[in-house]
Amino acid sequence: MIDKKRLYLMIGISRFEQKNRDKEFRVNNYYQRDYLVLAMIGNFILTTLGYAMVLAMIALYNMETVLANLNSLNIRPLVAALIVSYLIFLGVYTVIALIRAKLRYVRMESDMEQYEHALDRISRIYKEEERERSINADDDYQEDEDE
Amino acid sequence: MNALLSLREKLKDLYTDYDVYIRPVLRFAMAIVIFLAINSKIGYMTILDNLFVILVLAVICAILPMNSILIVSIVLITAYCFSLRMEVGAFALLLYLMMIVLYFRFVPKDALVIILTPVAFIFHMPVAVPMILGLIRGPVSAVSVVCGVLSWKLVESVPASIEPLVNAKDSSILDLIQAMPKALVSVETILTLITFVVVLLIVAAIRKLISNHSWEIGILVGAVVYFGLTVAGGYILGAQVDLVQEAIGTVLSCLIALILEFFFFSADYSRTEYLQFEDDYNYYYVRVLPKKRPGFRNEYEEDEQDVIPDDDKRFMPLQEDAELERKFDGINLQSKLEESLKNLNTNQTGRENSNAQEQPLDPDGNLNVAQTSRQIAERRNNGGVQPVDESEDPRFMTNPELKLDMAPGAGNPSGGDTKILG
Repeated sequence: MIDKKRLYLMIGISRFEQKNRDKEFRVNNYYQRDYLVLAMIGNFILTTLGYAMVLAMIALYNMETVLANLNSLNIRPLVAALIVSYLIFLGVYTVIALIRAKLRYVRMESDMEQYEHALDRISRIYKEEERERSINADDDYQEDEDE
Repeated sequence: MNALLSLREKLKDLYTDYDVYIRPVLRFAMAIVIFLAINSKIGYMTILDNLFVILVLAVICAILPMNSILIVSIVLITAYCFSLRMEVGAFALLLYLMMIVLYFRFVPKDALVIILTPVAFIFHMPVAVPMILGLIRGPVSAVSVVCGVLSWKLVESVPASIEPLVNAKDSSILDLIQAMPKALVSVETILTLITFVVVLLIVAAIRKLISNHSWEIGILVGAVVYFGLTVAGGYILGAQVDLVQEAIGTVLSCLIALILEFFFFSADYSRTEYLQFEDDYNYYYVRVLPKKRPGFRNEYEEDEQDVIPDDDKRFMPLQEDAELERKFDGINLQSKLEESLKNLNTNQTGRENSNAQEQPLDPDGNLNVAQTSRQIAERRNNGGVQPVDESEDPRFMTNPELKLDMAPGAGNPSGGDTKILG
């Protein structure tokens, strides 16, 4: 007879493993600080790319104006405006990405803790089952001998 | 009504039995519909605008996860735009990359909306998208809806305004480059964006606020708000609105949302899981099919019960309050307890008086198991003690949603494969 509690624990664990194969277990390979730094580096690259795309889109939309004023452009304030807007853009995305990465890591820690606890419980249940099985085997042997 | 209910039960059974096959078939059908819709609108490449190619792509998408449909669709749209003119293709690629890099990397689950919105517009049922997102995802998906509308505007503008420009002899490349982003920003676009976001927020709010029939009410109110805003907005902003087409589209969108409600709300088939694991003794092939939950859509982790120790809750399937409450409904537990205590006293006194030599303890003071078992069996035969049905004992009901089915099979050292069937 299979222990139902053990079975449900196994189902829960298997479900967790299947669901988080790519997320929790990967996150678990890093210390929190390393994970956040990696997330920030990824975010920096993607946000810079995104900012360039947004700029390109705005330039396309105002292409006529851009071309008309190309020769009389005042480069210094334009560059300053671009840098400031880029920093604001990057700042907003960094905050969002940081909160997301932090939340993910904290949740992962908690999930992994429970996961390991559940593994321990299963291990204990197995040991108990093993012990009962050996006691039953001893009893059967004793009965056979008595007969 | 009975016929509808029985049809619904039959559909449920059918889905339960064959969902391994039904899911890929549905993905295949979805991919076919999306690819054909894209081809019907901007099928400029003869190589790709071919039923055989579309079928092959759809088969591939049926095997792969859902987001493969999104990738293939974006590739199709971009390829068609490139075939029209290099600049158009580059613009389409830029737009989709921008959406993915700036937004969908945070919300990958919503990414399919980029493609589903144009398809919904092509089938004249645009409101289905914000309605369904409001029901299934929530208010955060408002940004996804905006991206979807922009995607549709690109697909719409290519044959409507870009293609004539490409074919015109007197148009310059500057006109073309400027026309593409400007096609995305028009009065109709703004009206559509406002309408979609409002519908999504209203539907999401109603779905959360009211528990009974919240889905149906949300769908109805969303449809009415959409129709009202479209008509009023079209009148105020001077945008062109085809009333009959909008009305038919809204009704069809409601029907689609109701069908989805059946699948996502009634039995929540979207959460069916297949698990496979093994230990030293058995192989376990488990299918977990969540039952319909009372009230609104189930938040799996939040509702779990106290029957399981706190640390294990995350890994134990949840148990429903109602099941246990129903079990003890109408039973006065206090009087039952007193009664059983009385019976216990009577039995003990009677046994001591009548059969004093048959103590369950051996001379060393240990429990004599065989003797005790014999006594219990005798008392059962005399009707003194009722056997306990384990399946009905609340202590064993760690999960009433799952049913255990043991079947003999090969390759199992302890004599059987184990299946859990929902």
